Amino acid sequence: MPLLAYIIILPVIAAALCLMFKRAAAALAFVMSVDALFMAFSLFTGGRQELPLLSLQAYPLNSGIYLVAALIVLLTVLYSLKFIGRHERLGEYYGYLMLALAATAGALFAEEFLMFFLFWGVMGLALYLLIGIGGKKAAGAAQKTLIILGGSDLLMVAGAGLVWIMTGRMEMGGTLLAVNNPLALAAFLLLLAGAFAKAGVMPFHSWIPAAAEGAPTPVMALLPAALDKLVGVYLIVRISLDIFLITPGGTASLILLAVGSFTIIAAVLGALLQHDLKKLLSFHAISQVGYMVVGIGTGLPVGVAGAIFHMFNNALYKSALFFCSGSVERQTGTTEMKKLGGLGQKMPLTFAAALIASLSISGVPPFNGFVSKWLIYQGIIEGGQANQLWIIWLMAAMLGSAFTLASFVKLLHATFLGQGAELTAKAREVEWPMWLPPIILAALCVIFGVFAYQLPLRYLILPAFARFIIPGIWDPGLATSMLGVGLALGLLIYLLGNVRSVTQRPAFYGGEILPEETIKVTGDDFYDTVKRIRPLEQIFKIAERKVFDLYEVSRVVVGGAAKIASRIEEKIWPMF
Amino acid sequence: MANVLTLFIILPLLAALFSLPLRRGRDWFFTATAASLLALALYCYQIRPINNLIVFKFNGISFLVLDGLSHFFLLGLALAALIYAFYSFGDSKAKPFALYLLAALSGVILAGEMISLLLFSLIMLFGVGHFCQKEGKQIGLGEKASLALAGLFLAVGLISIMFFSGSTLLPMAIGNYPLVVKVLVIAGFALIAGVVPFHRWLVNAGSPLIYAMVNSVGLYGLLRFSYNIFGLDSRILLLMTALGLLSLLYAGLIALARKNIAYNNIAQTGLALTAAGLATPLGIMAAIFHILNLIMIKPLLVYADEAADKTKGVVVFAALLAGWLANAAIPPFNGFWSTHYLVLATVQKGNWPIAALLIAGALLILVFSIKTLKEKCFSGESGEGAKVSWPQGTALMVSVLLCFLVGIFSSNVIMQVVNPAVIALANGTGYAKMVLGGLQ
Repeated sequence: MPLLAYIIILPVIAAALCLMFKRAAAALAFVMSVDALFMAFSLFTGGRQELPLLSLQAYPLNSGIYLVAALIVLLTVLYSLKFIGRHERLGEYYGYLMLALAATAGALFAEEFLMFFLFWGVMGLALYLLIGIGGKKAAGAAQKTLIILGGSDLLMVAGAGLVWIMTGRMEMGGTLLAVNNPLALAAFLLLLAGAFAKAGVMPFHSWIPAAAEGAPTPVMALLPAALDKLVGVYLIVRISLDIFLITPGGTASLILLAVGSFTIIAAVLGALLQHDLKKLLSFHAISQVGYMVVGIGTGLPVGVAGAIFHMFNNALYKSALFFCSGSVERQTGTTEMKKLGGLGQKMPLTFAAALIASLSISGVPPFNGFVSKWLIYQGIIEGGQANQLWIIWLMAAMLGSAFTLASFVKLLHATFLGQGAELTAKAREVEWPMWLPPIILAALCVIFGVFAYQLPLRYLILPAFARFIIPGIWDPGLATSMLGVGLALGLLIYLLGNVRSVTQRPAFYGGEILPEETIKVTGDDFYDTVKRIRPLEQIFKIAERKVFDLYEVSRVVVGGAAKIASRIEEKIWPMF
Repeated sequence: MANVLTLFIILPLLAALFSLPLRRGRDWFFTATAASLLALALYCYQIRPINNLIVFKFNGISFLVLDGLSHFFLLGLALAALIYAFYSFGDSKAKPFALYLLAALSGVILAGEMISLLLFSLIMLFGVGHFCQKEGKQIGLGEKASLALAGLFLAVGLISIMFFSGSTLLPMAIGNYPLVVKVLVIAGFALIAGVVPFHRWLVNAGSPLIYAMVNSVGLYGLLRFSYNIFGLDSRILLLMTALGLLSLLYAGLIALARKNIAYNNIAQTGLALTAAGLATPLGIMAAIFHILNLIMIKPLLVYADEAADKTKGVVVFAALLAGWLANAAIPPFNGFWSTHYLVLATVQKGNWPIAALLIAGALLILVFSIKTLKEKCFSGESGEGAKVSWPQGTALMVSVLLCFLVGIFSSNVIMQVVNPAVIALANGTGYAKMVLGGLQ
């Protein structure tokens, strides 16, 4: 039997066994995840493979994505050993994780629309069930998630139908359709709706913050942060490269650039104002996907390569950040930032991982996020020859990066730095199964940044493209060396100078000495003033009424129509 | 060989007669009959040549006809009856009436000439009222009047056809009739199928057996007459599409507002009817496949809902989950494939407003399903501590497995079960030639 068949069948069997044998579920899931990683590696190094019976095909790009997905599944299972512990729905939890793994593989390797929809839908189902593990408080979020994902899937089927009409084929690729007529544009938009919903692009994003409130944290680390992004963005890439012809400056390109830029800015502004760790991260999960959409929207190899690289990077640092927030939650019982602080000393490994992941997501060199954003910026600039709006997209991307850094400064300060709080007083480092996964991911963020060209770009991304030249000058090795020298100089100055001789004096207010606990600066409300900036004030007010939430708007419209229909049925129909 | 067709009517009729005076053993009678009918339906796949038919002649006329379409519906009927037999084990009040209904429904499906078709239809409509009353449903004047109206429409319509064609044979009835005659027949079957605006009786009278069997027979009549007898009259097809869309959207909205399964089931029927009105090979296939799935899904929703109110446990949870996910068109369950084929069929037809409305309707069903699932499975409230009884558990698990397996092996099911019915319909008025022996 071909390896591709095992990659799908074995996790399905593991899922069934987990559901049947609750006590052995964790061990089963762990063994299966290790096996999946080995299989993924074999597939990745084994070249192109096919399974015609299920219309599956593996090639460098999708097997590379599966490799990263399998790694994150393994780390999630490892993390869950302690985080989930002896949860009463343990069997279901691991069973659904394995189901998600199998569905991810199927969706990545599917070459034909109907088969793709099957696996894609099962992924959504697994996500729904996993969010539902969170219990009653997560029920609403699970409902919202499945309605958005299931609904957008129906739109996607209609899109596939249009492609079928135009090409006579149900295969995902082989013909490149120009988006130059209403039918092609409709097909393009309908297919994108499904991909956007899964990846969390605005306006289909609202399930992610909702899920963050109730779902178990490892679920957030695995699905919305990693697998859904990997598969969702992979689909956008396939739509844009294999099904449609995206020309720089064309309609499709403009749509992607506009939606991507809006997603970057709107979501990052939302993130700035969050007071809960998980919700803040969930808004970044939305914002980051905007970069990927912008990169693909450039329609240029360098931009698309940047988008794919950013997709990998996002999976690494976003999962790491969710793992870190889960560790904080487990040790303190909260993710509200105003109740946290000073955890850096008590949870040094978690802090180190969170710091690296935060700098990576903020696009600080020499970490991986910088390189992928750099490529996307280059794509935008290079595409500027085709469209004069390039400056808007570039500003959105760069401003988004600055806001991301600002919001992570807040997160790091409020959670790990500053003064301690009541809840953090007794906190200590989590057990190794919980600190190891974010540390591994943080290490990968460094490796993917410093050796960007030697490793990820060379092995994961460039094989998917014909050779292209990356314009501009960026040598990660040189940059890292210079940064290292800079940091060493700073340390030298710190050690040789008298910076350490700090004088501490009590704070006075109205002639009284203020007790230390009353002058605590949490950093939680650093950016609340953003809400009062003139043009933004109105936008935030509108956003609070959920006007930008497509789900909520649809709920109001459909609810109104349902009431009218019900009234007709009650009052008018009986007359006939 | 053709005599075997009579068993579909005689067996349940005899079982009804024998079980009526019994106080005990009615459940066994019903279960054995349903199982026999299912075995018979499967046996007929062995003896019926592919894409051909079996005709039982009585006094030289084609009294009973089994072609791909009627075979499909007979199989669905027997399957639904067997699941009902298990689920309602221990509640034997309505069993003789269910058997009587089963005989009448088989008669409608197999009827090859119009007098018997009319008689079986009237017996069926009479039986529906009695069966519902025995099931404890509130059957008022409105519901009885609706059923009577269906009988009247069919009687006037079929008698008119006999008058115009000069024959009682269904295959001889092929031809062009005044629109009003066609509309009367369509309205009669639409009432039985419970589509809007003929749906009110179903809201109060709805039970799993009615949803799975009686409504399906209504759809059978609609398909048989619009395709094989009226010969794809574009006005009738448009009427079917309009009725389908109206049912889908109107009932879909009311289901959301009132949280009522009956309206959901009406909306689902509308989904199938819309595709049937497209009259394309893919549309017919999608409609037939969806009807097959509805025969499994609709009763499962009601059974699981009832079970969840009284009991709890893994079986009930699985039944709720599978039933509502299948209803919502979430993979890997059967509803996913048929709904997706329905969407593809409307898109392929190129009629964008219909495609858009069908997708909107499917979204309404999805939203209703997921909302109900949340209330039933994730609200934290559950029934009393008791576990579901073994026959009920068996019925639920068989339904869950069917929804799952038909989803997984959808292409095989389409090839083996759905396609013969599609071919029978796509054959259009060629049905007459086949029945009259031209192709036998």
